[in-house]
Amino acid sequence: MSGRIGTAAGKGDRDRASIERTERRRSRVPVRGASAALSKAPTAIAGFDAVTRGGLPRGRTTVIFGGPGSGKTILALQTLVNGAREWDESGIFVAFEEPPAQIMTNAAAFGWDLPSLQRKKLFFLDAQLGPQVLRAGKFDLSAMLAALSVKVDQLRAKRIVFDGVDVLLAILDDPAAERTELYRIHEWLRAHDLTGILTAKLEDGQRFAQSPYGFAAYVSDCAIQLNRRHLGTVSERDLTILKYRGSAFSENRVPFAIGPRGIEVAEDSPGSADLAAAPTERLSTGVHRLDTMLNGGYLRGGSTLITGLPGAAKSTLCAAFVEAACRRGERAVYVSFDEPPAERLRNLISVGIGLRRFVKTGSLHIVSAPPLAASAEIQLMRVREAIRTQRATCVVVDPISALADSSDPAMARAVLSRFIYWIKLQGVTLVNACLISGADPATEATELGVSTLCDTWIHLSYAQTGGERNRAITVIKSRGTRHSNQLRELILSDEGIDLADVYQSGGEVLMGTLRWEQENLRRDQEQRQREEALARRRELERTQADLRTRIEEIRRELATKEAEIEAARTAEDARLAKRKRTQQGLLRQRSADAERRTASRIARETNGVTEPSLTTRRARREVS
Amino acid sequence: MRSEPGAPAVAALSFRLYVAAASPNTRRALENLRAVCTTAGQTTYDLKIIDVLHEPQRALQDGITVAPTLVKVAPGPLRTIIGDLSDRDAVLAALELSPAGGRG
Repeated sequence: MSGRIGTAAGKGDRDRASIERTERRRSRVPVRGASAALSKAPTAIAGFDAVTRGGLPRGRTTVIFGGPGSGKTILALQTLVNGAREWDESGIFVAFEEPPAQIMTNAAAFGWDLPSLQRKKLFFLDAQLGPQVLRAGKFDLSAMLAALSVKVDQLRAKRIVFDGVDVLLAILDDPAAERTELYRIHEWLRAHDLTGILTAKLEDGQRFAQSPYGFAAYVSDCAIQLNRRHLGTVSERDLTILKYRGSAFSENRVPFAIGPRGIEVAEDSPGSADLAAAPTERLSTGVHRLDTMLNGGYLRGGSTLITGLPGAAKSTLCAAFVEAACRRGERAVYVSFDEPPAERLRNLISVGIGLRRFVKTGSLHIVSAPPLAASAEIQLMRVREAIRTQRATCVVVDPISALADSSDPAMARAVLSRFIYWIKLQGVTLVNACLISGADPATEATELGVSTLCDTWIHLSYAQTGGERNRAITVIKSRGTRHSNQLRELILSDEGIDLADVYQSGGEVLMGTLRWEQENLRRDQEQRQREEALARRRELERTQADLRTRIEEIRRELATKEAEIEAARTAEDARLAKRKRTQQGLLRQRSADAERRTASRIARETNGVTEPSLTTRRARREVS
Repeated sequence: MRSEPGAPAVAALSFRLYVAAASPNTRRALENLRAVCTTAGQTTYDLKIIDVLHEPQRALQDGITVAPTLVKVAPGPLRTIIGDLSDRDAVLAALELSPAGGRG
């Protein structure tokens, strides 16, 4: 107790402290230690226990405020019903405003099986003070509480709802009496260790603090406000926890919806993300060349945004991804907001994407949701349900911008970011189409806030050149991916999607006819160049052959000359040898004394003969 | 209820008053009821006081949520008035008793 007083802030703390001390003295409940953790009564209402971090304060009072039709009664009754069904905790419903029979009729659609619960686990007390009842003077609620005490003991009730406390207070019509009676209820709840819910109507725009029930919020341990707005024809609901003593809680405006099984609250913190387990696997986009642009495809578990003007082939690109997923044997969900499924399937066949067989085998589930049929929260609730039941690993939402149309932008952004986060936690790979109307994708997609939430952002546009509109694709961003920066032409044919080769001219990527012309021009040019090159080569080859022939002739001539030279030299050598022999013979015959002189002359003549042969050798070297 | 020919056509006045112990509201309610009846010239009436704190089961059965609650049982129709009856004129009107005496 002292711990809570210590942390309480603002004026009136002392009052509250003294009130709480008084309560304690009167209370029959054993006093819990200041250190004791606050015990909570789970509601088992989807998402609500997450927002309240475990449920309503057990053994204490919770006040639910809201305008007419905001869902107060359903939220309160569902808490009782779930308590009885899930934890075998009996409950009592005290109806100040509506007859219990009417409440049960209204709740019959939720399939809670109230009649069977009513026999043992639920008790409805009709506490209406009808119009035929006259109020004449002061009164108090002790009679009702005494009666309820009997019922609480009988049923061993753990939970109790006082529905429409505002009606009671209106009859009391005296601020002092209102406080006294609210306090009486509060005290009675504590004395019986009951988890109590008080509901009270709040007019539009009224804030609880200024309302006549401000005191109710003040004495209670937990106060929740329900809001309902209309946006066009779509009804949108959200709840805010105004306070929760001794407990952490989400302070956000949390959207909720009244679904087929009762209230479902948007999970604002859907568990903790296992960020370490970020997969690196790439999933094919269904378009081979786009896979290349994205370094292999979309990241498993990532979310991709495909923006584009109407008709820019967003849906086709989405469908290509789904088809690729189903072919791999994965299970997929295709959410079609714009087109009825049958039309969607037919139209995709025209671009070579056949999804019908996957629908038949059950590996693809198509969720059809006409836009503006329900709030973003309800739409996404259905999508989440479909993903769960389908156990899908690949999901397409086409277009996600349809959700923004059916909610106010801030709410849609909140819903989307939660959805994308939720998808990520499931490890599901998401591809969103997003319709934009203007030329600048950045401002529009950013307005919806999805661009920052998505890992990959592909933009499809029209490039208008040369009297044509051609589809173009560009990867604006892709987290954790080395991706192409090029603007590519996207070609839709009856064989599906393909990306054209890149033709650049004067710094621009060419598309359509211009690309075709450029392609032809390139082809002609190349042909001409090839021919020119061929001609030049032939010319050169001819010259080469010519030269080779000439070289051959010269060699032959040379060889002849060499042979002649050799022959000449041999002949000369023979002549000299013969002459020498002859001279020596003559000298011997004459017994001449001048032998020495003759010998030197012979030597001189021999040298004279050898000189021409040196010249011949030099000439040969030059020829080769 | 007796209704004999020749007898005055005045049915016996009968009340049930549900109270929560002997609280100030209980005391005031009894005082005010007595005063109202006196004003209306009703000197004899049947009054049954039920303490809901002693008979909570009874309160539950009778659908009593606040105390004091006065129920005029007879003559019919049943009328229910909540509070300590301090607004005597309203009580008179609700019980269809006129200050002149006799039923209005």
